[in-house]
Amino acid sequence: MSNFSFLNPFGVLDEPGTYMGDFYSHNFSKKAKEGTVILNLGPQHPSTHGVLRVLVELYGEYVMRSEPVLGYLHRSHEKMAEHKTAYGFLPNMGRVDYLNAIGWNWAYAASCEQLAGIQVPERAEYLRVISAELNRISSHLVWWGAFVLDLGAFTPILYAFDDREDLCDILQRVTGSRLTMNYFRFGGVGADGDERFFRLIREFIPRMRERLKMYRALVTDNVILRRRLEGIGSMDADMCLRYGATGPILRAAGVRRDVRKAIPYGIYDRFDYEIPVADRCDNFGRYWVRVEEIEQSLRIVEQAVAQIPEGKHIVDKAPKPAWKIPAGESVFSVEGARGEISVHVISDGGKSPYRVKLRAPGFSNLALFAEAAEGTLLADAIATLGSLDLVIPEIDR
Amino acid sequence: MITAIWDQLKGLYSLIVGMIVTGRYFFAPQKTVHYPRKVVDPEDLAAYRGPLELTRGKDDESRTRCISCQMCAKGCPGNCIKVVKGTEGKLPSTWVYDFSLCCLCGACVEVCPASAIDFSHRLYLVVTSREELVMDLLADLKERVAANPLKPAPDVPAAAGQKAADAPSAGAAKNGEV
Amino acid sequence: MSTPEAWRDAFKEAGALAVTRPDPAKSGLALSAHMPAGSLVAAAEKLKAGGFSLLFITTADFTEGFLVTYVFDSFTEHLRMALRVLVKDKSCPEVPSLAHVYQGAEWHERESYDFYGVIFTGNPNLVPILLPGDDPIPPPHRKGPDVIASIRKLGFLGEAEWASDGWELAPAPPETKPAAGAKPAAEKPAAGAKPEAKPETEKPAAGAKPEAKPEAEKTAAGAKPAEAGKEEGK
Repeated sequence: MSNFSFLNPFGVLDEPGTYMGDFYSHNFSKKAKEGTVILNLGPQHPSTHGVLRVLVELYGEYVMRSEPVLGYLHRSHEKMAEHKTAYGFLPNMGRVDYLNAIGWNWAYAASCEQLAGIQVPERAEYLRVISAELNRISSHLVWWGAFVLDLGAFTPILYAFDDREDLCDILQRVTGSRLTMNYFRFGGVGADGDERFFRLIREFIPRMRERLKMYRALVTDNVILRRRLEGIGSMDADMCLRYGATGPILRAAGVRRDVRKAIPYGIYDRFDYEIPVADRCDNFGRYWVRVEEIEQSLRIVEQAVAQIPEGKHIVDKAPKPAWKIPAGESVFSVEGARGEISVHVISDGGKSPYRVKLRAPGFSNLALFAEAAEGTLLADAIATLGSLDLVIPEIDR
Repeated sequence: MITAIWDQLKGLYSLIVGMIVTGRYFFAPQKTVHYPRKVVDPEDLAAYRGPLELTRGKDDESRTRCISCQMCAKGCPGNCIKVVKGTEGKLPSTWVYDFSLCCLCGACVEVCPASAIDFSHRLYLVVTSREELVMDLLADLKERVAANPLKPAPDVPAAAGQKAADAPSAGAAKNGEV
Repeated sequence: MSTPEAWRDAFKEAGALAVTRPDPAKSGLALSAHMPAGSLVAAAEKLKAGGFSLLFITTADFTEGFLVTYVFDSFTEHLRMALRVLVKDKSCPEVPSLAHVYQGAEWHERESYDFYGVIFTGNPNLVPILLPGDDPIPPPHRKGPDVIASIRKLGFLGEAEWASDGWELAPAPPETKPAAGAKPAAEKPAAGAKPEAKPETEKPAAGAKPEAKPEAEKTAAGAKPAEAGKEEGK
């Protein structure tokens, strides 16, 4: 027993520079300083909201430097787009970010419609808005539940999923799926809403408002949550500009930018709603902005359900599955739950699009993390990561 | 000193509010459907997208409406449908559907000119191997019609027949031919 | 400075090769400026000073080269503009990096490096981001010779509102003969990477990208007459 290597199975007790590691940790540890420890946060970790790996260099409990490592969920959606027909790529959009499937559906369908000059009938526009805003509420509920779960509260996530059950049932009535929704078609939507669909929505709205009051009392006004979130994770407007961060992160930094108001698409200019903007750049600002957005989305849905006209849910002579996008280039942005979703399509007029670029808001938002988490405690870095509202499938695509 | 006491009281208040809320919801009814003692109300599954099924024929129910035009197979983004034309007229001799590749997009349902396929509402599908997900839909159609003929026996209620048809259909997929 | 006309003049000053005004209702872009690689950083600095943010960087593979598109928008008012750089040399594609101007560009450039092999000189951390770093594969999004298209033939960039002499991406007239409309872009080695980029069948040695050059010379010899033959035959 002269070889005691069984006491040091993965080489973690070796001198720095001699541990096994992999490509990314070797690359990261090139600039390591004296007295620090390099750890992997993930890729299997309940608080990284997906398969995200973050390499952190810790000095005690303080994060000196960090680097997210991506690609564990890369499914090559952009490459698939070049091999599927334009219509056949629509189901992929529901899988890119499954929590905000309608947002991605809209960005891609509208990008192709913009290029081809297809007009969507009014009833379809209203159905699009209703489904998109309900999807935004359900996405924010998942974010809210998972975020406070990261901070240690185990109950609110189950309450959030309780509300989400109602939303999933409502959306399933009209899209056919509870999560990875393939609802939009070129020229409209896939199916019309029936009487029960609208009745369920009308019953859901006041119930959700009561629940929002309960969430405020239980979580938002809770002293522990406030102390953990206030003053931590500063991301100001200049930082957002340098990284291209959009969505609630930008609005919590004081910039009044929402694609629904800045570049009105669909019929969003017919509704009366506000954009919550906070002037504090910390975690609590981002938390507050998203919770307020749920209320604003409820307002939009209420108005849309009251105003929706009769009509068709899809344009006459709608593109069939073998439809070819006319040659050209088109960029279209929508306001997703996480930020600005853009789809950039270049078409050569052939069976498949020539190049589809999916701009995920999470990709730019996560780039902020390294700078924002410098010098914070590890637990605060986790809270900052949660406040970014990341969904790794859209970052990795 | 005063702020320390005030902090303690604020914390205590948060705790009490939390206990009241969770205490109230502890006794509230659950939304979870305790399967298999209860099932989801079929009314809620009207638009649900389950695995594909062939629709019943107009005059002869067990005869599919499919005309073997291959539009569904061509439009499928996942290449999960295989239709082989038979010898009598336009009827298919083989209609095989690999549910493990299906993304439930609905392109096949929308493009079929004969309205021969539709989504089933089979929510409780359970298989124990990947091969069982390769379904022979012609055999499945015959099974469903045999278990629940809608004509010419109008006194058999459709709803009860539908649930009974779910169990044998899963079995049919196991020993499906071709 | 918030009108497309003002920015068009600003880009002209910064050394643009051409400025096009695509139809915003169809393409979503108000302005598209084609920059030579050397003027890119200066133009980006002007945009940053004007309060514009870099939304994304995307690359596409054409016969003329890689077209790297940078899309900017302002957070205070909406004016979506694109800067484009054409990288003609596919065996050694280099573009200066914007990572010092916009820190978010670092990750977008890494993504283009992964998918197309474009090298952004000056990027502080140019390692694969979405593809595995320790097991490199040839850039998967490069187009094979049977599916690659030509920017000029597609004409999707549109007519330029202002173009310098010899801007090579002007849309080709419909019935052009290659001899008359001398395309300067035809001289460079064709598609430096493997034809139908099938990463599972080819296992390159580590550091495949610098070693693609001798291979590119081999395939260029075979591919060039084939490609020239295709173009002549139209």
